Amino acid sequence: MPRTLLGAAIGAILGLSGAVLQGLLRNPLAEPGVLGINAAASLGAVAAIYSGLSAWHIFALPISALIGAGVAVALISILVGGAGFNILVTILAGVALSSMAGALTALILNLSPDPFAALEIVFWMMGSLTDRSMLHVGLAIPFIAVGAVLLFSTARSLDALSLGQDVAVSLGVNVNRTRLLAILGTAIGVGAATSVSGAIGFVGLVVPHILRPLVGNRPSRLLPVSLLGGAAFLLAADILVRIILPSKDLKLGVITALIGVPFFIWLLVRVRKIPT
Amino acid sequence: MIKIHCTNLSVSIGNKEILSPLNLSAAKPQLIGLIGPNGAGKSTLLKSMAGVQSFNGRMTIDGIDSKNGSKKQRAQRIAYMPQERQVYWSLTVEEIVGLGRLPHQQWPKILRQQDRNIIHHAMAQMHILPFAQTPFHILSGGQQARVLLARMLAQEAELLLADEPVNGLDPAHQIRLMSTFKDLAAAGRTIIISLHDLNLAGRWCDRLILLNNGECLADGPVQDVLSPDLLRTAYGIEIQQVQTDDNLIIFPHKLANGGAE
Repeated sequence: MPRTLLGAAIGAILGLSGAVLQGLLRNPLAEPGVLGINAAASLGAVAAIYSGLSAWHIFALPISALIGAGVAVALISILVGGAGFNILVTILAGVALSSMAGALTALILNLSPDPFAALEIVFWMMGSLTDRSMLHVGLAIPFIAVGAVLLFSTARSLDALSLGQDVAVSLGVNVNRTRLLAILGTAIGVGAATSVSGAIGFVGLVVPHILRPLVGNRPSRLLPVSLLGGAAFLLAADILVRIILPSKDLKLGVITALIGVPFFIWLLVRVRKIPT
Repeated sequence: MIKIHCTNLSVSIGNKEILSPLNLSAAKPQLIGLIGPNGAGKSTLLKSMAGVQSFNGRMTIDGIDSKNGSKKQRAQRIAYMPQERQVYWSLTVEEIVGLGRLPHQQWPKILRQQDRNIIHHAMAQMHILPFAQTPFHILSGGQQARVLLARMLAQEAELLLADEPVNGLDPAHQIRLMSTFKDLAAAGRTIIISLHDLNLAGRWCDRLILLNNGECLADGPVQDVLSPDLLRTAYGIEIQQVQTDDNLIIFPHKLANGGAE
């Protein structure tokens, strides 16, 4: 039961934030990972495992991951804020943050004295919903709900941004506020999701692309279906995890990436074909 | 009817002054053409008036400082169309035109029947009803221009600002668009468009503003602004003028001073 609830909520927020970020950055390759939020939350969690805090209290790891996500948002806001809203700067800031968090995570793994701790870290980073309790549900779902509300509030502004930033502004859209809501919503929602499940990639990227041909390209229409589609996608992946190799505790992040990466490549090929 | 007054409006980006302080009034329904060489500041002036570009100095809308009102209130009265006809995510024609209703929508921003009627009317006016459900990116340039103009019409603004709206269009589409602007002006809207084609400017506009190096070189009736002296100063060209019964034809035939800049 907690596993299903968490799977649905986490899939939903990943799908929704993917749709919002693709709309905001007007880039079909955007997903929560591009802002570096997954990586920063992972870093927080890994630090908790390494320092032994996670063994001390059940909530130490998710809270530490949330703090990581929070720091990521603060850094992104500082990096992006001064330059006005620039898509390239936002993506580059996310890439920089992601690389930095990845490097620090690798450093912790490197320094880890205990191979079991290292293994725990590696497994955690693969993402999983195994052995989660209602306590995890209670911790993650309020944040995910707040994140989802913030993300939904950007819907019509994202529609206007489809016509470019200048037109959106001339239509009365507060672009800075939209950007803030989208980044905060992603950080709170995806940060909370990552804190209990580990890093689950590619849901945010894949889900909006699967749904666009079905419901059209308008961001405001895509958001609610991406929320539902993300939930369905992750639950399906989690069921696959349990069916394929039930004895091996296959990691959820492995399955989503295995489905996601070929899709990502197909998407790249398709984008390359569209004349610009 | 909207009354716009710009006083000492100027724009600097970094240390570079793009627009020198200029004064400009648009207080009656007219089709105003904004002409001048590349880099003269036409786009910057339109963006400033649209609230897209921050500026120094003062702009008032019906006597009220434009910086005082909300973005939404301004958007209900001033519509803007940039030079690039770019639409990310290939939305359908109807979805794009529908975005013109955004400044008029209250939470939860769902289109009501009244909005739908206005969208339908705007599409009918631009003759794009047959492609209402067509994705934008498969339309021709002329059709795309009409869609984006219909989006401005659906906004029901009193001041329309369009940056080179006839750019890249065939002569028939140019005439179609210019006559639409003319009709809108006759119906009480104020329209300011930037143009490179001096003959189109002369044929359709009620008034011309000539910008050069960020300064307003001339502002007035068409025949005054399209004078050989002013055009030589602004563009560095020599023109030949032919007055027919109805039209003033301008033929830029060579660079002034043998092309020395």
